[in-house]
Amino acid sequence: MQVTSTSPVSLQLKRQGGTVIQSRIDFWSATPNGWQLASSDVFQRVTKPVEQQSAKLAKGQYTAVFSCRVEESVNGKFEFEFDVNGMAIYADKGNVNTTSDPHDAKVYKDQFVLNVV
Amino acid sequence: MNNNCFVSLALMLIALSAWGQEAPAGSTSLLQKTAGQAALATMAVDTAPGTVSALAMVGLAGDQISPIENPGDLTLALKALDRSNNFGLSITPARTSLLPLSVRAYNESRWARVWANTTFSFAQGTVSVEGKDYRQRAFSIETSYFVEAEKDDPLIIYWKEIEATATEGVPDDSNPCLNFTAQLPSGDPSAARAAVPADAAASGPGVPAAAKESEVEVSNQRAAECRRMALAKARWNASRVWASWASGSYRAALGGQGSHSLGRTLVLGGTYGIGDLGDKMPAAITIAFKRSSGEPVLSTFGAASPTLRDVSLVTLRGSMGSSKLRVLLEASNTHKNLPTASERTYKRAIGLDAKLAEGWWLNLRFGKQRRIDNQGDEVGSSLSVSYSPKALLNF
Repeated sequence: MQVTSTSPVSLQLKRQGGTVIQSRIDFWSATPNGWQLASSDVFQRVTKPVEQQSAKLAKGQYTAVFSCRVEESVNGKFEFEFDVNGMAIYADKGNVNTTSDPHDAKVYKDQFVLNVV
Repeated sequence: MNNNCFVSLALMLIALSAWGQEAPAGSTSLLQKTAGQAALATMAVDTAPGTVSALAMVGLAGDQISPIENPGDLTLALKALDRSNNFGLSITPARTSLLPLSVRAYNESRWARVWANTTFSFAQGTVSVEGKDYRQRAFSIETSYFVEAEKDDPLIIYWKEIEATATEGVPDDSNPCLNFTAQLPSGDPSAARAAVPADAAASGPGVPAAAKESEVEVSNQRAAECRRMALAKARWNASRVWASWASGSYRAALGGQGSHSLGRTLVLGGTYGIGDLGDKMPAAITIAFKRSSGEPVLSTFGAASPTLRDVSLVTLRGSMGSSKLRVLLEASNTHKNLPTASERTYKRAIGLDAKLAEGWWLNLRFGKQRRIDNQGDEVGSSLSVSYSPKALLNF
């Protein structure tokens, strides 16, 4: 998946439900010496239904790694959507409460390419 | 508390309890007297929320109740009916997928928190009174509320702990409440430079891929450590109010007598915490009011028309100590009437409460109460393990 944007890149996490939803996005540059971390943003305001960040990045291509944890809290219901520049990139919903463990959780990790022009 | 301390404490409690059993004539050990007659747990003044419930009314142990969190749990619990007559159900609607409450609502609304902590229970079981078995059924509704939620509610403390990591600048990876440290991309950097992936606008939002098992494990460990840190910031002497209402009925297990009411019980109570975390000796004062109407007197359980009593009981407890071990003093206005099924409360008592595990407590009490035959007061002791259902606060 590829997203093209100007800098700063607008990032938004929408969350709903009775779960704790925390997320992080890391922007990596591919260099001849390996991966180099360019920027990171965390989404930890778990009681807020919408959380916005902006990433200031130089022009170029980045591999953006999206990590997200959904943890049972008041209950297991959840719904989230991750947007870049207003465009929904990732979304999921459901119920993580699948066992008697009071802290059932679901962890995601995915990546996409971000072109900053 | 390490294992040695715990074993020592347990031995001390058992020894004290045994001393109570060897009390001189006129003093009857509560342990001896109530064997096979009433649930021992009902004898101690336990004002923790949840103890005056359908479960307590029929004298079931905590592990016999099935918290219902989804329709599947209900099916499983009802299937258990075929195998056992003793069972209990509890449901906290806001904590289920049936009527789920959001984190936002819980955080922002006091009434939402009251609703989130409202539990409905049903229980049935058998009790033996003076050698005769009776089947009992009861249902209840109970709720509780943290007066200072930001200081005492474990859920809110945990969420605030996580939110505190959402600072601008470079995140502090050493803080486990920051669940994710920088996550490396998969694949080779040179391949990433050459790849031309599809445009997101064309593909639309997708469900992100699940993390690898090892990554999930790291995430779970960091979350558990964060919860531990958060819980350490919660006061054991939380300021809290609670209310519960229960009603039930019983009938002889054998024989043709009809059913009789177990009465109705209303409990209102509150705890005021003195001292914050880090203070040398935090304490708590708890007052609870219990009003039982139409409750049968134990000694007339088997009569065609049991003697019924309306009882108002006020208990006051002062406790001091830590989250794992507390010394306490209790007093109540227990009167001189015949004790009823739920009213085996000390008039004056001292005691120790030791935490065995989350929700489980070892309770030692030593004090004075009315004899079951109402022939004066007696000095006795009790050693019991109690369970405070914490389905409401899964933390």
